[in-house]
Amino acid sequence: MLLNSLDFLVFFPIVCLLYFAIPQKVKIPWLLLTSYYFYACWNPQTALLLAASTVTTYLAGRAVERLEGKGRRRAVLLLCLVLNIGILIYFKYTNFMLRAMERGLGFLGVQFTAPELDIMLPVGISFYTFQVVGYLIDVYRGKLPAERDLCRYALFVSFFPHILSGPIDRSDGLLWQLQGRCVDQGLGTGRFSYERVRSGLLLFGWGCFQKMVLSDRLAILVGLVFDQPGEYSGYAVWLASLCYTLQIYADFTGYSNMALGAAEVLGFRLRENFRQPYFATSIADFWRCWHVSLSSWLRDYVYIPLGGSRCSKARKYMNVMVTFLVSGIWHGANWTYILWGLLHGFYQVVGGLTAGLRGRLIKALGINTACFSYTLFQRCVTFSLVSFAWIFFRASGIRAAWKLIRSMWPTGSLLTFLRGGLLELGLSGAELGLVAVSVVLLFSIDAMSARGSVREKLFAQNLVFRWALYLLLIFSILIFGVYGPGYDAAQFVYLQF
Amino acid sequence: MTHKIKKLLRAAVFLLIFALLFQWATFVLRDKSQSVYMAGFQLEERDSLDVIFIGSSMMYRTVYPMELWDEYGIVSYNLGSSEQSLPTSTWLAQYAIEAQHPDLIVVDVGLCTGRQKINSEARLHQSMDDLPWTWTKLQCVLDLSSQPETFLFPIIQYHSRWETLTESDLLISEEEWEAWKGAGYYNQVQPQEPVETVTAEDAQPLDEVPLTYLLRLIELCEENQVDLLLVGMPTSKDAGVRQRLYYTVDSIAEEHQIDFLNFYELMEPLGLTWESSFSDKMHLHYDAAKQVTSYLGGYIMEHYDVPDRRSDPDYAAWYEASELYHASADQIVCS
Repeated sequence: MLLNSLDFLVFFPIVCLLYFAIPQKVKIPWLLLTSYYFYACWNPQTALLLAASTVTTYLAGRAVERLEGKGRRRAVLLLCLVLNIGILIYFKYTNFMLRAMERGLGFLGVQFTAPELDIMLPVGISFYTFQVVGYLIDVYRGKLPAERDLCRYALFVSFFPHILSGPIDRSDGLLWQLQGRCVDQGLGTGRFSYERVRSGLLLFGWGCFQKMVLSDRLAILVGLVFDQPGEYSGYAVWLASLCYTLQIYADFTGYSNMALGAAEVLGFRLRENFRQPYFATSIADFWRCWHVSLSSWLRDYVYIPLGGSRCSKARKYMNVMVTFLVSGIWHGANWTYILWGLLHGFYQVVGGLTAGLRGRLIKALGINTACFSYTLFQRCVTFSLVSFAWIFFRASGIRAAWKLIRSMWPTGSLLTFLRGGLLELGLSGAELGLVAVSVVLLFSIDAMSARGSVREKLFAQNLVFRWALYLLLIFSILIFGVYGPGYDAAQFVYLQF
Repeated sequence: MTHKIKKLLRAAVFLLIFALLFQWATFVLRDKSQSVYMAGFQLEERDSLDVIFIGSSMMYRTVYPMELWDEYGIVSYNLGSSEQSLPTSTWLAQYAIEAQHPDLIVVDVGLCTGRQKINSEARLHQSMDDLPWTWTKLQCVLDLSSQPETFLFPIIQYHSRWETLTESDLLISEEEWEAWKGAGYYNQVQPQEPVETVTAEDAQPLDEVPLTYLLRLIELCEENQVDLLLVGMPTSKDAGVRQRLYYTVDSIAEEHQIDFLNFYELMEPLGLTWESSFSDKMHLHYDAAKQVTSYLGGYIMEHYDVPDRRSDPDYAAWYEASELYHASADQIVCS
């Protein structure tokens, strides 16, 4: 079950209605039950794995807190980390490692044929593993006491809005709300709030729009070009690359918004995951705004433990590269993800190494850095670097990525492409127009968000305006969304019968 | 409390507006290429029709209710639709019996060649989308469709039509429904190659799915005391297979004391020829179809207890419908 599926449209209202109706003491068990049901819809066996990960980290957390002696505590921590990360590695990276071994041994002249193991990747495992690892490390560090209530802890891990694709929560987030520590903020009270439900549904709806109208539509064009490297060249590849930059943003931020919106309806606040990342003025800034829950996790549990920036410059840059290597590996079992991660690390290292030189150059040229044009320049450069890196992220392999990059050299006139070739990339003229409008809307909302809550501004408007906007949003999703079996005119045309 | 009630009322009004807009959007976006044939059925007064014709396009492009009215006073409706499978026909028969309690149901078994329950989801939509919801329609959808949600919420199926909407999507002409009572026509004449002659000895058994639903259809009519007449229209496409299956249908019909009219065998007596009577490999053209209609009407009046309603004042509106029909039908030229 996905958050933007018909099943969820049936599931969610039932969960919410009962949640608000039942007594306080059974609310958490109810959410836990429904969260496991949600997860088990994918595969009941993987729900057992989720439960195993939950129980082991719960017990490890209790043990770490109780045990005397740093050595014993560390041993329990390491054992549990190895177990959970080991499970993640097994399910996600076994075949990749076997293929890499085959290649590596092949280079050394050793004949080895890697078996293709039929290992099903449990959905969301990368997200919840990092979440439980983060919790355990926080308990070990004494940042928070171990959760004693297994039910509450299990819900923290499996909460259905975030189990599939995050945000990766921290112990001082959802867990505190479940513990009742945020009732003064109106969070985790279990009480129905019209304002919160309205706000949550609106955010959920906006997320649906981003995913179903924009991202899934862009995926058609992107898929056509990226899945056939070499078939298209020049402007088509440029356009596909740009479209993928927009697709992945709309997809990820859309799904995050759906998760945040669903949680808000229930009276919980999940971590914000995106802060207008394509307005970032540097790669470092980009990573403060993109997939914030992951980048902050990597900062706190990889970068800083390695020494962070409190060391020599060389060590610092090494730490950056290692952190982004981990980020790349986390994203997927393919060399393209690793290269993508390393590229972002490289960008930051180069940025760091040239900071002084750039500063001197700016001063020498008398460039005003406190004006819109300079900010715009920085944003364009950052956007370009990020877009280029996304090519590796999306391509099926390093060779395919390289083929696409090589074929980007423009051939022919742009006008000719716009007049003809543009409509041969899987989207009709009307759909391209819809994409353009949606992209403008996406960035407009982002720009408004940078100045404050868009929803609050909307709720301050008059009823008729608000309702018109709500209905426009809902019907945009219903009509323009990419979902369902689709209408194939050829099937409906009268043939011989 | 007042504040809460106000919010509840507001939510209710919003949902009502949404529901109305949703209904309208679904109607506009829905494919209505078959609506002109199927939608008129709901306009017929309950329990007013004596005969209902069911089947694929081989039925609805061959049998003209208004011709039957003019010549015999038979009040009927043609519930045929494109590529309507035999299972769909069986469910439509049940639907029609519940809505109209007709004296006679005539079913074309031309698609007894099919092995699946439906030819496609699209065709099932075309057969069902225009009919009001009943328990029978729900059962039909759950039985035949692998995407029942697209019937409950057709917008799931049709929303991507937004790019190709035209003015005609906003309205359907009810006049046309009145005039043709579910029938349609072809007027091109396309000579066909004569087909092989098959004898009863070459009969071929029906596949499990069409056989199951044919027997269910027979049982349905028996239970509801509705007469059933099976017909097999002639086609040049798959003529050999179709004829072989028609002989099997004939045997089954005989076992259950039901009449079956094999129009392959009736072509010669009716003066129909492969060279001059067909519009394509599957359909007779309008003039030839009228001959079949006339024959069928005579057969019905001779063998079934179907009344001539021409002097029944309750059916005065059929005279107006006939005028509407002739206003367009008389312009048809087959060439």
